[in-house]
Amino acid sequence: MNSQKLYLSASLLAALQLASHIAAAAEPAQRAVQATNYSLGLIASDSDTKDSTSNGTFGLGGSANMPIGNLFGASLAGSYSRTTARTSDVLFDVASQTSSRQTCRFNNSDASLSVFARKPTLGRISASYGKGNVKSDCGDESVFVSTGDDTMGIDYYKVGAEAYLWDFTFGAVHTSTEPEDGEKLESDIFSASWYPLDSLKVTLSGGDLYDQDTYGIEIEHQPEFMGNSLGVALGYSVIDRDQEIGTINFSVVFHFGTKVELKTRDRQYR
Amino acid sequence: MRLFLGEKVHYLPGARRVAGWLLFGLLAGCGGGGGGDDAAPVQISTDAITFSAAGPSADVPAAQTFTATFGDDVVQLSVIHSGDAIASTSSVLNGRSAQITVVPASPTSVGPGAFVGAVAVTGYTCADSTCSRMAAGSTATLPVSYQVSPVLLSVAPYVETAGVSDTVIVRGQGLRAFNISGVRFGDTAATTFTVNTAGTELSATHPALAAGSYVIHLDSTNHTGEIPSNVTLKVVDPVAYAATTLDHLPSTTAVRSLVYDFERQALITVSDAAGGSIARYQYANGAWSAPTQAASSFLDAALSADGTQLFAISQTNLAALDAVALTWGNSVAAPSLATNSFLKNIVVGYDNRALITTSLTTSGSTQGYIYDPPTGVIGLNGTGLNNATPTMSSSGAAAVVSQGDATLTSDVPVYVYAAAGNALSASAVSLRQNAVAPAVNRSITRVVLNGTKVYDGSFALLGTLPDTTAAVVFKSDGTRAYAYDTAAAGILVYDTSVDRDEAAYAALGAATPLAADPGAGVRMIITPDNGTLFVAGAARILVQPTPAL
Repeated sequence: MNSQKLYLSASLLAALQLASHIAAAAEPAQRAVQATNYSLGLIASDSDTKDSTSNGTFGLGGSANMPIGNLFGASLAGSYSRTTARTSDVLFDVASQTSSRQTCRFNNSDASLSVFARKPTLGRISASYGKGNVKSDCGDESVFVSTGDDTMGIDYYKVGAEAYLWDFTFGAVHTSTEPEDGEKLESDIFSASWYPLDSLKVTLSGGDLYDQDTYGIEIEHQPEFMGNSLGVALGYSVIDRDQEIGTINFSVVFHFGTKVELKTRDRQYR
Repeated sequence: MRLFLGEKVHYLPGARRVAGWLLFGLLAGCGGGGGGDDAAPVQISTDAITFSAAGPSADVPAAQTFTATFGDDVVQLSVIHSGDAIASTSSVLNGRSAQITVVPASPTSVGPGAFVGAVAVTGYTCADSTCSRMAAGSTATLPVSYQVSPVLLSVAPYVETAGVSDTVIVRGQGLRAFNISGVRFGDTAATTFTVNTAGTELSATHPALAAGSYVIHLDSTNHTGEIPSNVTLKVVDPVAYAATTLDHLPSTTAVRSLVYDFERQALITVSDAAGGSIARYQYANGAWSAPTQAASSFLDAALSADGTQLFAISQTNLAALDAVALTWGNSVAAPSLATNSFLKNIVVGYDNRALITTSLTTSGSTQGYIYDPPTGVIGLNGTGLNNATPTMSSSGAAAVVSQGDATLTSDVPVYVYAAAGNALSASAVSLRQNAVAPAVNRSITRVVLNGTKVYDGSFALLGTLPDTTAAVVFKSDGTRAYAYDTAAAGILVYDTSVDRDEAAYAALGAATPLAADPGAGVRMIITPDNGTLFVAGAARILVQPTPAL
């Protein structure tokens, strides 16, 4: 499946790049990041695993984007969230006055630095490095398989490319994730975004994770009545496996200073 | 809406829309397949775990382990549990498997009962490519069941009369934790039984049994296996003692109390001989032996609930003596005795705890004590009584406690001591006690106070006995009162099954004369088989077959 996706994506990118050259010729010179900008938002998600537990995640995320010359830009991002499993799904109702049902929580933190080169009329290529940490609090003992204790550090590298074509953006990201003391995890995600309106984006994505197919759809909107400062995104993704994992994502992000439409923000500010 | 080429439009160009949907469709279609190789579900090596403990005081059952295996996608293994059955879980990882140990709860902490629990093993995977959060993979749930058996502690009375059906009280823990469907004495089923609300005792009626020992068993519809028991009811044949007299220890001028050892056919007296002595008269081969004795300023004594010990008190101490050899065991001093006060009387309830009353050299209230044999502790019972005199029912369930003296200007309440809670509570009756100790029957449906007033179990006055009554006892069922009457110089029998509406009871027949004058300060007891009266005074001890009236 992966080779099939790569072939398709490469073909699409080549075609789109060619077409974008035509558009670029008519546009004035634009920087990779028009101006330094910041965003801060709330992130929430709810995952449900078939025949297993469901869990909810709530947290904060923020990013800072800045230009480096005309062609390059950099982005710093960070997030903190907490995931709580609903253990009543798997621990049938045997709690009593003297005992309670144990829970499972994860505290997730993550920070990343990305550098990228972008021609707003053409597309973007990027490379990222990030570090994360997950701490678990599950029952009497919380054990990560790789570390043997209740915390696990994560390093990851990403390389990605995006092509802008009219109201479409096509992207591919390869991620190499190295859990602490664990085996490296390689994954690819391909996405296609469509802007039916400049303030509305619909993204379809597909990829692989642990050799399992993943699919996702996300709708992001930046309502004009909020002054183009507030973005709202709602998405649904699926990890296709025997115990299928479905996740609903929701986020509300406030963009400081930059009041531009969503498509412009995506292609010139972040 | 403004597009890249600067053309302001209000709708999307159709070709682009078609192209967009086409591309989305292609992207969506390239997924296919599914069901990854790395996502093997969590599997566990057993379907269920069962623990059992023989009772709440039993050792914690050994922990049990099982193995969980999981796929390569699992980055975190969560082992969580719920329910009273489980104290904790732990896991040891070994590659893509884990050895999971389940430790059951302490039987002491959960008490008797059937408990359940569950252990859920969930493999969490990275929810996204950077592992910024976790998503649950598959879960394997293991049910855990845990049975802590009820425990039987004792039976009271622990000795019964052969050939007589009667009701005994079986003490225990968790008697309501399971559905008790029957009680057996050996192989003989109880005719009726009831369990109290707290599940701490049951009242069971046995049919007439032959002499022997009977292990008491509980049958249950939801207890797996036999409920453990080592509580034994002893049944002995009644003995028809011939009328006779027994001599006191030398220098005896007063008898303080009488105790009958029904199991071993022995009479125990506490007298003022040598400052306070215990004498034990063993009956064997048709004759009473010369007494064995122990002396240590003893004032009173009572058999333990299982008959193995004799708890004897002096003015300041309690001593646990061997019930047969009268050899000394533990001796415990009563703490915080009030000035000029001393221990006075002792009775033992079916829980083997002793109620000890206290007295002053003058009239006044002092706290009594509770003695707890397992811990060896004597503690104040919190109730101030005036020179109180207790009499315990032969079931050991309760004692009637009279108090006061003739010098008081007003009556003081008669108390009832309930062995179930080791608590004293005032009855509806008040009086000033005289020298005649209270009398009660086995189930406390009849009470005599001051040797003259006959009450029912609710302390409603039924009738009166003559003022010349020096000592009185009840037949175990309460239908007869046997009184030593100084005017009649013998035993008078009264039908106390009837309510005389507070009028005087008339004696049934003539007085049964005693073989000799017992002397002053008479004490009297009746054997549990109701066949014999022991009457003791300052002069001697009389063994008197109970009048057949």
